[in-house]
Amino acid sequence: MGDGVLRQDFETMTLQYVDSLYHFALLLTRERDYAEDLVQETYLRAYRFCDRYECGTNYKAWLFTMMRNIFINKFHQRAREISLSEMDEVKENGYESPNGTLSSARSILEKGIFRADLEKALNCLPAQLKAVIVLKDIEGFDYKEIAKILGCPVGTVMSRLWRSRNFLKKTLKDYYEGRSVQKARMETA
Amino acid sequence: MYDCQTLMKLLYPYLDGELDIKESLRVQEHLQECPYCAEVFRQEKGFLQELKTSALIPSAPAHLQDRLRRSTKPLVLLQQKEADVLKGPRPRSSTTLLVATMAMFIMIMAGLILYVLPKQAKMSSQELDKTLVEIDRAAVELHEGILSGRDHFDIMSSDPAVIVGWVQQGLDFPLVLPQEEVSSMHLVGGKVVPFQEKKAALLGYEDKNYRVSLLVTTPMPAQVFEGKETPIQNLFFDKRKGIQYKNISFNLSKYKGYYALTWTDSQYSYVLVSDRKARIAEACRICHGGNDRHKVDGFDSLL
Repeated sequence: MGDGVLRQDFETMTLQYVDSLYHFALLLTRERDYAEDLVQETYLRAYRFCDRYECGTNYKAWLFTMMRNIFINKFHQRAREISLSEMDEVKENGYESPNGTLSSARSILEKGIFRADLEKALNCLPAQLKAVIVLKDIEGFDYKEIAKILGCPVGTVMSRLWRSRNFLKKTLKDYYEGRSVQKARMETA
Repeated sequence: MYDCQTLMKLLYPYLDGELDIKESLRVQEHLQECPYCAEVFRQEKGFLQELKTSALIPSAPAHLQDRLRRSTKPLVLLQQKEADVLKGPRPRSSTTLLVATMAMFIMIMAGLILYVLPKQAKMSSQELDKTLVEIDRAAVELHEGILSGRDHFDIMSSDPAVIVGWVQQGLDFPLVLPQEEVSSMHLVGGKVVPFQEKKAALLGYEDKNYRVSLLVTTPMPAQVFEGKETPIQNLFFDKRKGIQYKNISFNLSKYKGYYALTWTDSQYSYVLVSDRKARIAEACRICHGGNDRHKVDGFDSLL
């Protein structure tokens, strides 16, 4: 049994993560209305069971795990639709160097373009691969926490990270060498 | 010392801070000796840093925080009530007790005169029919209002405790919903609606394609049907308007293309509304297919 979160602290402790929770809910449901409902469900469940949270563990990870469980248990139909389209389309491949990728983010002008390209590249990733990038590189969870949130072994998290980071490097490199940067340069010229 | 191949396998665990001190030192040892790996690691570190600083977290809509704050209010109230019950009644002075007893006596007498006694007179069958039609149609209108978006639930949640916590505040009768999930349908929301100078709870259930509404209110005069207990499956296939099962009279009607099943037991009147009879049957499972006190033995064989 955990030590719990005091109910008077619950709102402050939980609402600080509302953007992150909404982001993850969007990733799971892919629709704003569903995402808002899922955040509310998670918030209410966390409120009811906040005495079960174990102090000293990552509270944000506890909320994320709860959200994923609610998504699977309560949003049956949506979860089924998403998992069908989640067939991993990114194949296991060799190592991709970030060399060309980094050069796309060098100047201030290109920084904005890099951000837009990164967003596009992230959206091209299958949901399972995007999830590990979001949870690791954006939300900062460790491998064990990600494995718990996604309900998979740590080894799977590691291989998905490898594949998704490789995919991002490759895609960003393509963007850099291709249309998006040239177009932006022409527009600012 | 690690070789280059091993080091590539440890690339991300090292940069993600997942290695223990011993392993990290061995990686660093290799990096000091191998300019190729050192360059790869430097570039990767830069890439991950760029990823961290460039990726944007979409902000939650401004109204979401308010919605979340509001959503726990019923639960807070429930907990306060529970706490009050645990604390027990506050000590009262003898004068207060005397006044309270007298007030209660007056209220009971007034209730008897105004409410109970007039109800003793039996309603005519036309009046009963009219009441049933009214409750059916009112429930269908409410169901249609929610489906069309003209009206909304006061609270959206699939958690029965949350719905009850919220809806209960506006009701003058206790509402109990099953906690166990036994049907493919799940709760989506609830609201309190006025109905014939009473209050009713409107609850929405859905599965992948269909929506069912359940209206619950205090007992309406029930239609009484002649005859013996009849298998409930006849309700969904028999052309007869009414049916009786375990001394409860059911009434199935159709209005605006929706089916409405109405019944009254000793405590409440209910109306289930859906565009499919089969969904109404499935919705019965929500309360009666589980193992709690509402369980109907052999439910699956009945439907």
